Amino acid sequence: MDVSTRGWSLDWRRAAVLVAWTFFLVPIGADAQEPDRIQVTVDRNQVALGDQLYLTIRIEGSPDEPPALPELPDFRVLSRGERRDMQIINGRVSNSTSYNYLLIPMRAGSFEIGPATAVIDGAEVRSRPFAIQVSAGADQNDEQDRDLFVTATVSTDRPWQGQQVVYTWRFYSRVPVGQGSIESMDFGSDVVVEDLGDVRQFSTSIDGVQYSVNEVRKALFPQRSGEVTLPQTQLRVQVEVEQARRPSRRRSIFDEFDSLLGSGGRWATKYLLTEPLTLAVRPLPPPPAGWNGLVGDFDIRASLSRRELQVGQSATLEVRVGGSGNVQLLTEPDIPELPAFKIYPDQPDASIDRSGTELTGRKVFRRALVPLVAGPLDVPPIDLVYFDPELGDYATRSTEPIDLDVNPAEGEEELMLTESLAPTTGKVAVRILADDILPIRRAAAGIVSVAPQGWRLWVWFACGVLPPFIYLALLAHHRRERRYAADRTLRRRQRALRDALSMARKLRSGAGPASAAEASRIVRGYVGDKLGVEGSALTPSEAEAALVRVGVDGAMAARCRALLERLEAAQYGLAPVAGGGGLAAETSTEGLSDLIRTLDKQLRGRQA
Amino acid sequence: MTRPALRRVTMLVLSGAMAAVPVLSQDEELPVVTEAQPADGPPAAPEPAELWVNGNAAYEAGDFGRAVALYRAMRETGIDNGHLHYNLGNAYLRAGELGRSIASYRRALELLPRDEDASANLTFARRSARDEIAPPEPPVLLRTVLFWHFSLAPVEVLRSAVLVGLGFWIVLAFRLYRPASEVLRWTAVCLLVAGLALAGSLVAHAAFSSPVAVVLPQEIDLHAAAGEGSVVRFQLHAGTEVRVIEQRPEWIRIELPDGERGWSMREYLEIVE
Repeated sequence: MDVSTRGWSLDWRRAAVLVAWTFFLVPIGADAQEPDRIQVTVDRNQVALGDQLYLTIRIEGSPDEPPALPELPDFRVLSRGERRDMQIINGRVSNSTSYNYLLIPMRAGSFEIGPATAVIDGAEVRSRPFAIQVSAGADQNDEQDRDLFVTATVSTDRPWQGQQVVYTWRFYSRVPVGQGSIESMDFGSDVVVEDLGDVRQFSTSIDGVQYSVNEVRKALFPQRSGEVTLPQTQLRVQVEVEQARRPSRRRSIFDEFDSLLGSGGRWATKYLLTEPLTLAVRPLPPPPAGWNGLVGDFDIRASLSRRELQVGQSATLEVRVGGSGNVQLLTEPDIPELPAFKIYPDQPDASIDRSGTELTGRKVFRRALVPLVAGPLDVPPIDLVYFDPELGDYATRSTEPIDLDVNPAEGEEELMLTESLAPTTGKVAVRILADDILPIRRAAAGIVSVAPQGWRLWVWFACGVLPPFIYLALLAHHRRERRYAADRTLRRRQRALRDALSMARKLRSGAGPASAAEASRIVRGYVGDKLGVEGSALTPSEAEAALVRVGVDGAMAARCRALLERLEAAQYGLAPVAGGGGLAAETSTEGLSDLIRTLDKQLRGRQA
Repeated sequence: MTRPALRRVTMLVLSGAMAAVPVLSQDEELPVVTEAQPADGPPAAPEPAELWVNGNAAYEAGDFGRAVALYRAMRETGIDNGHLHYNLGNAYLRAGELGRSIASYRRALELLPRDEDASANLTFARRSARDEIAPPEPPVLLRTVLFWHFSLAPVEVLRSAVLVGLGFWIVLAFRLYRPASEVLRWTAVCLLVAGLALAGSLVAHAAFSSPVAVVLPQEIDLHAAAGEGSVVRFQLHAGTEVRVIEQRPEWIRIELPDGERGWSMREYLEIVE
């Protein structure tokens, strides 16, 4: 019973916990039973111009394709990727995909964000529409309340056609910012744009609030009359978002280090847009003669390097034209006819200054004037015609007339021109008008194979292969010659056998005195060569002793001595010691060769 | 002892030089080719000189197809030189065969590596190739350091190696009889170094030069595997030069500079060794 009671008690507690869970979960479950399969949310629905908001489209399940955004003509839309999530609740797996977008409002007003649509499992689903309120951008009075803002201004909004309009774009910040980049500053084809220096940085105070300012200046030149719209300029900048902290918490020294190392907060991207500007460009009145397109404020001056010279000598006329405006169009003004001079033009010097607050420039034109006649001459005024926007009309500025005294030349006319004043009209880069392949070869080299053939191949082969062998042969010969030079008996010793055998082959057969003398000379010569002594001077006994001395066995040495004795006896007509038939056999070619070979073998064995 | 030996070495050197002289001057002993009237068709047993003259005449007359045929007939007679490949490249290019012209210019530059005309025409032809793929070339640093390898044709390297070797052995032979001569010693060292460099170049030419293939048709498919049913990975166009990494009887595997690989039928590519 106890057991059953305890069991019931446990079941009761478990039931209580289940009831409690059910109490909390049922409403959630009931709410989740009919979820919107597509939800469109924004991080806030009230923004100011120049600010941005994040829009997220969350789709339950896996859509067949990315959702279709609602019409957003009043916003600039930037995709910020997608994210897939998977959740497991009570063992039930659910997938969702979130598509993120960044919306930058283009104008103020109240906008209804229409439904976004998506196709899920073949069925089209729609989100619920909602409204976003975009307030007008802060004006100068409100700027002190803002941390970041951009402005764009023009020096005049009613310029004349071709007049310089200075466009000034400024980025004001009073919070730490990271990298920033101007993503669009395109003025279209109706204006010619010139940069005015690099980005300037300075600090300024607006109603007592200190701002760090980045300024970009452009010189714009409207190319047509009428309304010209300068589009918005967009800046993308990284802004440090300070971590949430309790107001009461004081900043520690570590916060300062964090700030120094750039790790004190996280960075967020902000997009700042300027207001579009409109220029009402006024057309120019009909131009007078001599106007070459200059619009702005220009001046012209002329000077002559020498006021007194002789006929044939040269003086440099320098005409300086400069000012502010469309200085790209500065050309040489019309110089009046100077019939009393020979004129040699020179290359002009041009410089355009983009570092100032507006585009300025000047050009210096030089001409060498060589008077042809003597007497007082003058360079008449040179006119420069331009359109003055201040006056709203064309203006003309002229140089002062220049007088000079020309004296008669001493002797013949002598042109004192310098090299740089040669009559050139300027150099231009060479343009390649067309290209083609180079022509074919006609030389007879085209019918000869590169690889050697026939006997040439063998010559090359011999040159490549034979030299090492020839060198080795030379080396061996060289070493042998050196050995012979070091040991004078070596050559005789080495040649003893060969010489003896050669002489034995030529031996006349028979046992006569002549044959005996020849055989004796062969044997003595061999023994003498081998032992390094004079062989013909050896007696039979000396020969035996010498052979025994160098290691020949006694029997062989005695045989040699006996042979020599018998040969001596036969040579001088004495009775042979042994039988005459035996002597004939021993003094034959074969007999001598055999004796000498046997002797040589023993000598070689002993010497080895 | 020394003087007769020196005489023998001198005689040996002179005989070697005499053997080498005709080899060195072979380019000067070229047969004189006289202008011939272009024939209506290729002759039955044409001489190389005749084919050369007729091929050039056909090219000048604008008959580029015939010029190609005559130049190719020259190749079949065994003639192989850079000038022939250069003219063949010109004829192919004029005939509209971009791939074959690039292959011919490459062969011309293999045999005449310092020929500026062939280099200029190859550059011109490459401009017509559609694919923006850099031709397989060794790095500039390597070309600078091993300048003799890349500035000399293999035949030139071989001849230079033979002559340098000959000189080396001759100098060694002289050193047998003048062992104390520093001039001979350092000459031998220099010749040995030059000979080893040239021999290394020969080995590199023979063993390490990978073949290059040029695409012939206007467009070809590169398959993932060697078979027409295989997936087409990418396409290449006429005149594109690629590195060959594997060859089979009917299929060739190539590699692009970015590492992409594919198989193509052999007939669509011309391989330049």
